[in-house]
Amino acid sequence: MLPVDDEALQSDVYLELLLDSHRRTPRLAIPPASVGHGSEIARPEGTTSSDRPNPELARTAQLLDRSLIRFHPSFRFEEGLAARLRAAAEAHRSPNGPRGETLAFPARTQGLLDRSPLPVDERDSLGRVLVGGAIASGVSIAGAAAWLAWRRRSRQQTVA
Amino acid sequence: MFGRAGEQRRDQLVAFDSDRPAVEAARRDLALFEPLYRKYVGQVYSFALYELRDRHAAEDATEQVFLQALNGLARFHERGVDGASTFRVWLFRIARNVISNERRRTRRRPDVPLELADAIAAPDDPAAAVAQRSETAAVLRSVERLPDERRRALVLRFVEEMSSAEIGAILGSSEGAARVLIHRALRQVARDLERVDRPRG
Repeated sequence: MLPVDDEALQSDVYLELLLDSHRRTPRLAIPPASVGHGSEIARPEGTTSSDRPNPELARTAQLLDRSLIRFHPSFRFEEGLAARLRAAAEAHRSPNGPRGETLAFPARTQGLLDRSPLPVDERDSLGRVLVGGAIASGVSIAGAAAWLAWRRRSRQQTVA
Repeated sequence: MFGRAGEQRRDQLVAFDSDRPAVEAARRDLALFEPLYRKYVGQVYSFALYELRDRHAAEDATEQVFLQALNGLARFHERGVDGASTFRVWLFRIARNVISNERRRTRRRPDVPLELADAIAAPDDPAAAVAQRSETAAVLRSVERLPDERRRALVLRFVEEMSSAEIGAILGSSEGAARVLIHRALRQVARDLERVDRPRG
């Protein structure tokens, strides 16, 4: 019986040849029956009997080779992440550096908007109404203060 | 013995890092990071999907990996103190950390990863397709039952077609230790499948 290091080396050589055989030719699905118990084990091109680990491990390696395939993300995800990476790269190049990010103005109204009974697509207009209301109210307070000051000044002039 | 051989192999990896021109270009201008992203997005996503067994979690992990890589590219050295040797090894070390954190956080481990088995191309013959699907599901279940490092090593070997030296560098062990890890994983899967194929009697 071989020591585990030697067995591992033997398996490694076999796997290298197995994987290399379909780097040259695309992976083909092998019918399950061809690697079943008691069947002849397909030998990767270029292997000799001394390169192969025991038949059970060789069979398992072939099953894994066929079952563990690479998946690809969706086009939408890939493109979305590409755009986010471009934006992150751009942020690094800007004079402010990657930390100089601009915050959206209506951030303070976000909590209010989230609790709003309005449908989501109408909440943006509510945000504009809130901001507009605040500006209008500020303008009216300033106007009232100016009017009171003018009235007080004109009364003082009358008394004098 | 293996440590020394691993070091030699690592030197070879550095000498043959095909990504070096792209990495140097991206270091000068991060806008040129995109070719590296396009080259590796499928590999990182696939690794994350095998580890997390959930498409959305795999997408989140992939995003984190590439954002960390982009932000940390200036700190990447082909032979850093942490043993990273090539860009791919460095990227997968980030992926391993991100995915480990995600697995710890969610403890997501579905019992039957059939959705992966379904996604694998089946032969035209319906009977063969059924047999292959059930065989693939059995293999995936068996891989899922492996201890974390053995499973990772096996996925990196078969899915990403990495060498034992690269896997050792990603998992933080020597090339020899990675070889033994893969060999033990193979033996465990073989025993597991044997038990499924030949139930009692």
